[in-house]
Amino acid sequence: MRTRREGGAPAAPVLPPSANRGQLGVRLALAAAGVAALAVGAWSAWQHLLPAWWPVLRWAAGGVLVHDLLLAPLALLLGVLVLPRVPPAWRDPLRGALLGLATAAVLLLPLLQSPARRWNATILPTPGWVSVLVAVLVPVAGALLAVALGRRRASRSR
Amino acid sequence: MSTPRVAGALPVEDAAAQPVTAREGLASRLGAWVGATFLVCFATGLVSHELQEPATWLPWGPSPAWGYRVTQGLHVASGTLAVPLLLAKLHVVFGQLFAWPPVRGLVHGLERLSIALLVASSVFMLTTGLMNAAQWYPWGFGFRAAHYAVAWVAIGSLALHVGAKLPVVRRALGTPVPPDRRGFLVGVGTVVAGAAVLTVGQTVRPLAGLAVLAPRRPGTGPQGLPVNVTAVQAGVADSAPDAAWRLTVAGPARDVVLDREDLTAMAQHTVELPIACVEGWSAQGRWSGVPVHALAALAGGGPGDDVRVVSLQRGTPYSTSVLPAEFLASDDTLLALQLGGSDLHVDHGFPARIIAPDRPGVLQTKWVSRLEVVPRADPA
Repeated sequence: MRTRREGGAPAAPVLPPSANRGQLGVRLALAAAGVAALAVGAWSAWQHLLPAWWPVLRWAAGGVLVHDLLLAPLALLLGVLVLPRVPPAWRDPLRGALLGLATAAVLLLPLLQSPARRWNATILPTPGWVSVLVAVLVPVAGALLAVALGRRRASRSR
Repeated sequence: MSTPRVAGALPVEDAAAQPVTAREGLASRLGAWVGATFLVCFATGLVSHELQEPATWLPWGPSPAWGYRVTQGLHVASGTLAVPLLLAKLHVVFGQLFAWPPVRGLVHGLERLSIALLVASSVFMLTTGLMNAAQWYPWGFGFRAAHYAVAWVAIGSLALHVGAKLPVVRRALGTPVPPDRRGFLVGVGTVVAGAAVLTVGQTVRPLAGLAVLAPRRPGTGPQGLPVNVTAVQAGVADSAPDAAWRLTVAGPARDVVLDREDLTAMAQHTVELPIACVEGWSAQGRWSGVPVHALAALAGGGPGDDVRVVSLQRGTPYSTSVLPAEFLASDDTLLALQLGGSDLHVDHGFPARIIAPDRPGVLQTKWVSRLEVVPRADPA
């Protein structure tokens, strides 16, 4: 296989022309399928969602804004402020725990906010405080376990 | 240095020359995992959507009885597990949002537009799906129509994104992840596993006790089954238990009116069937009642006819449903009168409800008041 260098970058494999052509075919097929699916979505929205276009748009944009303006900056801030101040062995478990907590927050929000349990006792049968407690304890316990396992592995390899 | 391109095609520059960065390695792997969950979620969602259509292109019958339980369980589980994967993927690529210049040309601009669509539609799908499972609707649009249309946008923009990034994805997946980044991937995998353990119990009975982050538990509810819509919610709390209730079976030969005693005097059939809700929970029950084909026969219905089911409930799209002939051919398609050996609880559809194998819960019509035999149009 040929290799080439550019701007001092390490050597990287270059696909032979036939492979490039095959890949190009796959990319074009994906692009065509993507455009077709978008067209189906647009048609379906035109047929059924036109009167509700504004709330749909608001919710679609709102989710991105919550992520881009709240969750992602918060994650970056924690990464900048906290991670350099903890031992290297703690960093990955801490990242995992933060991801676990963020996931739990996303899953918990509908459970805690839904009014449905007022009229249907079979929805949301777990008390909210139990869900929150488990959602916090499991990632924290998981991180501590990962650190302990990492230390044990490190002491064995010495 | 000029960028190698295939004439008239998408750029392939990244494929040839540049080393794989750690970010690309992580993003490609997380993207592959997100893509896998999205594909499962999309395919199973399409099944569920089509089954709720009066006329569908999807060939679907009563066997296997657990079919819809599996597809819809997978739908909700894959959507739930996509949450940590998407969060991790967006975290890894977040810096790219501020790349400068923001647009380097038409193709690059379109690619960025497809990413904006992908992120917006993905977040929309996951949040509305989770909220629907908890029956929380603080928006001003129909959930099913919006979830369906935006699903096509999500899967379409995903295909465009993969098409645009394929060269770098192939290179990245062929290059080992640097040792100092493997821990992050292990962490993501652990969170996904944890989320699975704490949610899938709403349909996987042995894990029911652990499902503290799921909105349902299979054994919780009257007669050991959850309820989607109560009799009070449906506005039938008075009319359903009324002794004056009668079932009308309308057919091509005659109309027949039956009370509950008439129904219990007919030959009863008992079967273990799951009830599987579109919201992702499912639970097994032992149902007893009269096969619907036997009732249709009283009114002159025969093989090949469909049956339209009408509920006492009014004012929702699910107050009627159609049982296609394929389902009527099965003895297990019942007008159920009992659950677990006792009369149906009113929240489970007393005095009579439909239970059929391999059907979405919303089509298992409760509080049935009328069955109409609908002969299928003669293709000739």
